[in-house]
Amino acid sequence: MSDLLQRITVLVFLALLAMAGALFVGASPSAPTIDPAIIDTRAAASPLEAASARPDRAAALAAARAAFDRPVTTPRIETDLLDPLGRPVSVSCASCHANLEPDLQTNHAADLTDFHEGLVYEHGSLTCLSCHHAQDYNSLRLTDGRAIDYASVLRLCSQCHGPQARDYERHAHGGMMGFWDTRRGERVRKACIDCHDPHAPRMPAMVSTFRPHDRFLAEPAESEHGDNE
Amino acid sequence: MNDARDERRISLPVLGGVSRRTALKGAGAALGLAAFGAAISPLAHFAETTSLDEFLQKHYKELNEDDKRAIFARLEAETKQRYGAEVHLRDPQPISGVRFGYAINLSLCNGNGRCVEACHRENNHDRDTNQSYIRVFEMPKGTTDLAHGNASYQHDVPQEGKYYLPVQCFQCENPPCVDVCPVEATWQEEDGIVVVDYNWCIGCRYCQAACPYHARRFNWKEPEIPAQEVNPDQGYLSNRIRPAGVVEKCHFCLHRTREGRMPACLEACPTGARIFGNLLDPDSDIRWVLANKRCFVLKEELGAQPTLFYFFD
Repeated sequence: MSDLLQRITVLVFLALLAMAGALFVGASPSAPTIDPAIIDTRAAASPLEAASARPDRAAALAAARAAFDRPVTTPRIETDLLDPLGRPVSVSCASCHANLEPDLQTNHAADLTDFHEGLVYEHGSLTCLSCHHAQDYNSLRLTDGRAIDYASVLRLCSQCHGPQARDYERHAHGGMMGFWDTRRGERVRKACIDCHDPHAPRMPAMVSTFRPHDRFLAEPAESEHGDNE
Repeated sequence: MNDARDERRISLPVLGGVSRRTALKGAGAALGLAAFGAAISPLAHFAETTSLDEFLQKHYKELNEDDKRAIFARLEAETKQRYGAEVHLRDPQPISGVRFGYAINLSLCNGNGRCVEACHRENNHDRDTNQSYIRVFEMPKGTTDLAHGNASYQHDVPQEGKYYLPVQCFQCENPPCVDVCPVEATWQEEDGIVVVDYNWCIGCRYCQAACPYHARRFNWKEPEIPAQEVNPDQGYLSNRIRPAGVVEKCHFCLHRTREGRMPACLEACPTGARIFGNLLDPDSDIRWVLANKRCFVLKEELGAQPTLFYFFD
């Protein structure tokens, strides 16, 4: 008798488990949150491809991720020095910052006197250490204090620029090249800092140099008074 | 009796017995012949520049594969002869299940005109006139009336109080330009692209008048392009070098897009304002934009149903 009860208990437990599993599976695809793996370019083996219903979409995102994945090298900055062969000298961030105590009172590039002078900084009310990691200058800093690689800059920017990150994820923001049909070829996408200077992200003014010459293109004023001049 | 008749038949010495009526007839005939000769004289020039094959060429839709091969070989040879450039002419067909759509984000477009230049180079336009299928209008905020736009600005962009509106062929679902062509030299393909058979077009320019968006261009002269600048990747219905005297228009770079690639103007855009894709694929980028952004078309009330959309973020 107790054997039978035990079996029934096990069966009921298994049935409950199956129902819970079904609920979980049914609910997970409609979850509205953005999979962080999409914007975490360092996630090597993400469940993205498996989760995507369409293989071409997964391939597109994989291609996009490949495009972001800058080689993970030590971040460097140009100095205004030249080496004996006349080549510009760049140094790793840590070569200075490893020996310097971060000054938490420095909130703007204009306050800097020893290095980084003249850095144009127009990025809201952020300070240097909002994005640069005070303990490890070879890393960026997420808002929760975690350090991430420079290569994962998209993830850093996405913390504040949600609508842009959402549009970017749907390939509706950011320049791109290659194939609209990613089953036929690769699509290469630009990352945030390919177009926006992270220290002054507003798109700079550009000069328009190329205009066709045809009769529809006359200035409105010229077309009215052109004959009299 | 005879003498009396001869006396009556007095005539002017110069015309020597020809009546006034006959003389006038002769003069009229001579003038008529001269006028006819002058009228058909362009044909002599035409015969110099047009081969018999070209003159007898059939409408694109009546060409079989052999005809196309022969025509493409002839056109490639002519391009080699006139421009000194080796080109490869193809005829990519519409992809089944694909209808192209384009969207431009006017919040991002800053009027830098790189798309105009990319089109100029990709599509083998005349270098002298800077011809291009795209015009970018600098518009005062608050209107989409192109009459208020200025497409010849040459200054830093963007300017205060302005927005920038790139206009090209919208590949309308219901294209008015196709309806008016008297020789059916322009038509809509299955993927929505409105194309022109440049060898069938008679240059009457009705389609130019019918287009509400000024999207069509007339080739006033044979394009001049340095050999090294000729884009060798050419489509018969798209960017091959067009003859003088025919109408041409944007074709969404069909020699690229029908092979899955992006149009040249999109790749050139430094602000990422352009989104291209398949309207029939519910999972495509363009469908996401149409579903999630406030999109509009120009002159919607005309009912042409453009498939190039604009939106503001």
